[in-house]
Amino acid sequence: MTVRSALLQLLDEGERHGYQLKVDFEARTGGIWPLNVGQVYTTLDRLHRDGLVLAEDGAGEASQRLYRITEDGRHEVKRWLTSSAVDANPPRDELIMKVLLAIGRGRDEAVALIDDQRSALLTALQTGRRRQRADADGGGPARRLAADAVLTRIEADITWLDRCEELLRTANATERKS
Amino acid sequence: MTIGLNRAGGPILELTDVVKRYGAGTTEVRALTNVSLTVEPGELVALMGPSGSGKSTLLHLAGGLERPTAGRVVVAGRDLDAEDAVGLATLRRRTVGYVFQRLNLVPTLTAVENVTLPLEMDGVAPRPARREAIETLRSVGVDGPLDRYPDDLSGGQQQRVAVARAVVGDRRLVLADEPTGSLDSVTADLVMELLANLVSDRGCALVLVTHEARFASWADRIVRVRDGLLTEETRPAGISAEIEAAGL
Repeated sequence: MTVRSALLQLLDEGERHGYQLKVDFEARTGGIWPLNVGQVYTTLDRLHRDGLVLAEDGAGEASQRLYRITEDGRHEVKRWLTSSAVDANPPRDELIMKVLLAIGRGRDEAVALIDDQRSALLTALQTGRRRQRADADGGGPARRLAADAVLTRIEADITWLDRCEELLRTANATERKS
Repeated sequence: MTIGLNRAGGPILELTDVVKRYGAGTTEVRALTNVSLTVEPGELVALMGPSGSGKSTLLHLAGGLERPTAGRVVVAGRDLDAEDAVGLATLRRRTVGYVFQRLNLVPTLTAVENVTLPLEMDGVAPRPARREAIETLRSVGVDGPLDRYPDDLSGGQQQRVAVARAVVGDRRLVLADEPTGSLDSVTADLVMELLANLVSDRGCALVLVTHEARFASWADRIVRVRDGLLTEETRPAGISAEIEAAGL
């Protein structure tokens, strides 16, 4: 759904070929979500079917289809951009699910799992930071901000794991005292 | 548990089986238990852990601000236990720099005088000391407000002056205890970048105490401290692979 809306948003800025859409989407999102060109054409077919874009065959054998947004498509883009990105429930997240379910297997097992997951996240964070430093002078703001978004989410996951561990340890200490 | 990577040239800091206890009998608190840590020149090592885990105590022992109950602390090849008060003070002044969370510049001295102070205490004449202080301040991005007093500087500028004071005179070990703790997030990122650049540009070692993954992630190694023990260590993925390939 998000890719569909993002492609439609790019078409709202101007008509494009399918491959151009793939290139522009990746450049504008800092390259963090590489797109399969087949996925782009499947999405465009659906947008066309739903009346949100028009497709125009180019002249000549080597030319590609050109896609243009419709008035309904513009309304859809406006609706997407102004809708809240905050869900009532957090999206299904493997880390959250693993930790919450591991708590049922006992405190020690849960803390060990938290340690392992945190180590992996810290390694990913260090690796990302190193890449970001090496890339500091290149890539432009989209690439830098996209990388920053990824690292900030990892930091948030680590903070949450710290809280989980603290809570489990505190609960354990309280149980021992009582 | 021993944590560290051996390289040629000798470590700048070695803690071996260090124990630190406060109080005695029923009031005894064991702050550190058999901690061993080696830090090489040019390394940025982050000590990460919750409040009260022992990470600041470890930093104080590394800088000779406190003595261990047991174990050895060696800085630049010198066993701190074998140093008398004068020797320890000299070693601290010449080799070790400190950056703290609270901006602890001398309020009655200007920015440049704050940085000149450790050099003059070490016998450097005023004129060359001032020249070196200005050069160091410029290297950390402090150019204009050299003769302003700390109260007239922003938090970020004060911390840059504190960093300059910590490294001036070619000190090879910088100990930083939550150096970004009193700064807003943008300024904190800039100060962290500055500290990391110091390690790569000057080749000094930095031991950073932090409870935030955001700042720890700048490190070559993150060592977790929990209940007075070093529990685990992480490195960036490429570095881990290089170390494994080198069989270290």
